[in-house]
Amino acid sequence: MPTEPFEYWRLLITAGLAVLILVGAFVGSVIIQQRRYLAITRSLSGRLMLAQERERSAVARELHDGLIQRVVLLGSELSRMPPVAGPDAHELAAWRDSFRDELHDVADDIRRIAHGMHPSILDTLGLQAALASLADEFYFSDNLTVRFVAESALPDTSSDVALTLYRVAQEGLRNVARHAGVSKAELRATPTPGGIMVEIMNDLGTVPGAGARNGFGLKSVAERVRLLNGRFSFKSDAATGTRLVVWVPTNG
Amino acid sequence: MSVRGQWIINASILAESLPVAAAIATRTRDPARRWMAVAFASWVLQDLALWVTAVRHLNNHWIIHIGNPITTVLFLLAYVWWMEDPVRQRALRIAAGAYVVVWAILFLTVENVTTFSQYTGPLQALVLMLVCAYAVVRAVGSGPAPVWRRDVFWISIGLLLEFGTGLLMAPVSGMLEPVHPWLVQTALAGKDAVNILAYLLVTMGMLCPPSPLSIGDFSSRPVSPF
Repeated sequence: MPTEPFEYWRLLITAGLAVLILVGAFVGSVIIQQRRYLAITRSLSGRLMLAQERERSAVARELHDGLIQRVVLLGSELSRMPPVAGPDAHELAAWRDSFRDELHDVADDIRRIAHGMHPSILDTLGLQAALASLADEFYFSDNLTVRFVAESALPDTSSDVALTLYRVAQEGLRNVARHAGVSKAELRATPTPGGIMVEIMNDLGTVPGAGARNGFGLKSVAERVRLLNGRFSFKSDAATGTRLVVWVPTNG
Repeated sequence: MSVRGQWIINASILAESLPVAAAIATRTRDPARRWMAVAFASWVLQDLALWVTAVRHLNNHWIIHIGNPITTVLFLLAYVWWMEDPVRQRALRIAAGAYVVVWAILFLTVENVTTFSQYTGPLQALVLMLVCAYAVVRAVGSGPAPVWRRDVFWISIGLLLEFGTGLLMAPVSGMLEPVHPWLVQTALAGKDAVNILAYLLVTMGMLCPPSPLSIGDFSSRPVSPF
């Protein structure tokens, strides 16, 4: 047997190595398993978001092409009704005009809801026009003046990328309107090598509370961006204001 | 070793081939047993190479050193099939790779190839004993059949005996050599006797009635040697 004297420290070293190999292998295996579960969860989450967006788009199209048209048609039919003679003619005409105005308002509401569900402008005019339109909308809906800056023309992207960036801008501006307590913000879209960067900034405002920071909106934005292999950063403090920066690869 | 003690060495080498013979005789389709048979076959081949080099009076320690990672990986791959879930299966595959890396580092840095293994031999014994002990504990606590009718139980007990005695020999010889040198020979013969018992237990495991494969979700099925 051994031609060298037995030394116990050697056995200790090998025992340590043996435990290290097996424990390390087990920990490694658990990490791999967790990463796989996470990837599956993320993939499911991505599919769920995609399905939700498709459903929203279908409902918005149905509202726009079906319901709104019928309401508008009803308003036109009312306008074309011949004047009624008789003692109640004046009252009936007033009722008809009021009903027609009401129908017009209903059509506007449905159009607004349809637009909120899926911005059709994104499909027709592209991301840049959609972001500019979004900036305008916040002035009317939340009295927030948004300065939209596109340093150069944004490149063509897939509908997933465009929709993600649009939703990011929408959620970011909604956060500013609800939590920052300011009347001005800036929405900036910049083409970068391989992707598009969208920034939402406001200064001299209040810092959003924990509710806004940990709310579903920002988490949803981060999740959307991550699904497209993009980057997400959110910083907020009283000195520098709030800044949400998102970068998404155009081939995402 | 004296001529009187030579027969037990020969018997031990012969017993080493019994698990292989059992696997061939039963035409086992169980992947774990097949890997186990391959591992024992590699041991038998190593012993044949040791014998050939020994009769030519050449140093043959390097054969044991080189064979060490091969048999360890084969044993670990056999145990992959006795693990119930993908995490433990993958852990053993990772352990096999990690073992080869650690063995290579020790072999190239501190191990002396011309003599008995000081590091990689005990490392092999400890790694496989830990895996065997875990498998025995799991086998006792679970499974559809009684534990004494399960291959993993007897094979693991056999390997625990084999590697346990191998691991004990170095310190026992170290203690006996200065005071009772003749007892070292007896201890070696005792080790061979225990090895024969260990191989018989492994053979018993190989002859157990076929058991259903591990219950669990196979996200990635282990690879069979055949």
